[in-house]
Amino acid sequence: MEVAYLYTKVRAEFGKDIKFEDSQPETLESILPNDEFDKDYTQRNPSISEFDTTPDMSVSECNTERLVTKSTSMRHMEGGWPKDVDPSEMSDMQRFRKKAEKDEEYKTAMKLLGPMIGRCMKQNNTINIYEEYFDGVQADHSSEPPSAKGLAVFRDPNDVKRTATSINWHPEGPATNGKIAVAYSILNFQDQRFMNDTQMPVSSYIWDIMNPNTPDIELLPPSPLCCLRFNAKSTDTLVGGSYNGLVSFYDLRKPNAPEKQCMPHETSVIEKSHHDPVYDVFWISSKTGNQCASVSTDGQMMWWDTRRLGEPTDVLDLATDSKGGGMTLGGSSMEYNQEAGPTKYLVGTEQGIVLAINLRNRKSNNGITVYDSGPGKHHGPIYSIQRNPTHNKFFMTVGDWTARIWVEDLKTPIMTTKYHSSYLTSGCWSPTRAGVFYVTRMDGVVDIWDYFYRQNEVAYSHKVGEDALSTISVQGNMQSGGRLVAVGDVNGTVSLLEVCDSLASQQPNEKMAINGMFERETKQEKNLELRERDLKRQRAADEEASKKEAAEKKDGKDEKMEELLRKVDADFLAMIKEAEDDESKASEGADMGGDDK
Amino acid sequence: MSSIAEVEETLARIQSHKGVKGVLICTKSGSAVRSSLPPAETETYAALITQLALKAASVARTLDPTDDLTFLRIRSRKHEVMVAPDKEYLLVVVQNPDEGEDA
Repeated sequence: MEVAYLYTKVRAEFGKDIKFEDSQPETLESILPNDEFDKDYTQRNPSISEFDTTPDMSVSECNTERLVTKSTSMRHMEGGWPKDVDPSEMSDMQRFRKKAEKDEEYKTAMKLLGPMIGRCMKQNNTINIYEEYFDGVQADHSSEPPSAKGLAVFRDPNDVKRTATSINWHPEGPATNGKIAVAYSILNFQDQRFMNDTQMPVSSYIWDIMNPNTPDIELLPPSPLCCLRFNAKSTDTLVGGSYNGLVSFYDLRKPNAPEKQCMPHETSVIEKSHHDPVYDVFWISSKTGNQCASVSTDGQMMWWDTRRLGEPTDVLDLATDSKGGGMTLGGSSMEYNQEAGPTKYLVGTEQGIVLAINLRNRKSNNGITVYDSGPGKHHGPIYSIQRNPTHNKFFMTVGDWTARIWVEDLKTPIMTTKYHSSYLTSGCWSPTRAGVFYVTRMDGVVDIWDYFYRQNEVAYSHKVGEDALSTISVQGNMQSGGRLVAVGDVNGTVSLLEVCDSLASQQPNEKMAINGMFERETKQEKNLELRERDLKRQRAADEEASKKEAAEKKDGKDEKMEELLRKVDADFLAMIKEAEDDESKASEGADMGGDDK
Repeated sequence: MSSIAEVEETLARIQSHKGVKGVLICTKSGSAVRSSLPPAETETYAALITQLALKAASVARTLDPTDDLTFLRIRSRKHEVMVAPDKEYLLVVVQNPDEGEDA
């Protein structure tokens, strides 16, 4: 059945305006009920329909802007004198005192209070109630699971986010002076943040760990600092190395500087400085305590006197000897430890090769010893190099995905960590525990290795944040500290962590055990080296022997041939004899007088 | 009834103890009356200790209104400051306990 309506119109009326008008209903088609379809009908049961009248909702979160607070205080100095007494007038005070001493109440009070104080003083003199009963008892923390917790976060106050390239703790402990000097700069070549018109902020900061809101002192170098170090001998002075190669010296006691800011006291001149960013600078031991050494990727190491930074006191090219091809290597990290030797330096290079420098024997290749440049070297720049604080002979390098431990008198590393799943960016030893070291990773994790506990796995991993970490520094020296760890990331955020006692306090026998382990590994490595040398010698000897043999080839061949012929002869004769014997046995019965002979 | 002499005697007795660095008597408002400390130290001690003692007394009274502060000892790394408060006056003694121990 089809309902169709034929619509006709003359051609001439096509496109004409349409005019609608009301009309009466008109039946076009009428369909009568059909009982046949009735049986197909089913009633829907149950019938469900939903209605919803809840209004639409959404959840969103936001943080309020960070509030910068600062603490201030007042100090009451002159004492609370009555209104009519002028504290600056001696006679007034004298008169007041005279009057007070005549006061009856004063006398009774003194009489009452005297014995009380006396009792306490006697107590103090008799027994030390604050005596440390358990002094010198070493607690065993080895059973504790390692842990770390975040204490504070220091954010670069600048809008342009720069990498925290170096952290240096104030040489005095956190009890008296918990301060960290943090250098901020962008080390990426032609970084986007350099390219736009806004000037790169140059300032670096010294933070008080108790006050994460505002920096304690702002340092204003001519170019962003890449490294910064307190002078351990005079803790108010610092030396820093800049991105453009300058070395600058700061004295925080400078009186005429505006509050909380410090301009460099002295700066080197650009013509006589490094040509690349200064990657590390160290105060070195000297009589005056003004000497420092710096290293840069331009392949130079320079020595400075901070009182006269006009030109370096000494310059050294970081080049391999003629055997190594005389290649110049860019220094990317440095280590100086007075206890290991005041003329000894270790430099980690961009090429992954370790250099040891001893100024005492400058005659042989400027005193530079080049370590393994084959399989033992890092596959990328060495970001950190540090001697073990308890065993100075051994040092650690951090680069590519591994941290390696070396001994001074061997060219190859004695221990290597497994390859981490992410690039390593820096590392350092625990100052208190001989077998513990920290490495920072590009995925925002700090890995803590405890060689006293195990050598094949990380002892503890702590996730600091999402951003790549860039530097790490642990507070303390061999005697105390080791609990506070400052970690910097690429956005200029420095996180202060506190590690648990088991990671910070020296374990019983640890020093000996670690030393034993290192010595053992050294011995193994030495033996391997020896074996390799032997093998080489053996191989050389073999080669020589085979050469000799080749020369005497002819006689040798004849002799062999002769021997072979002799053997064949003998075999042949034996075979004949056997056959003859058999034959004679067979013919014995038939022909007695056979040819037996 | 009590004379100046008795006060002097008390003070002398206190000072005769081992390790005593100084004795100071001051009013509750912080003005020093008697002192065996150098003038600059006297002023700072008087000003700071009275404030702390008053605060401590206020703490003790707030915790229990019927209570009152009778003695305050401040132990620092270098010495111990003992404060005996009264209605109007404070007796402050600075003692170096280690020195007394060594002697």
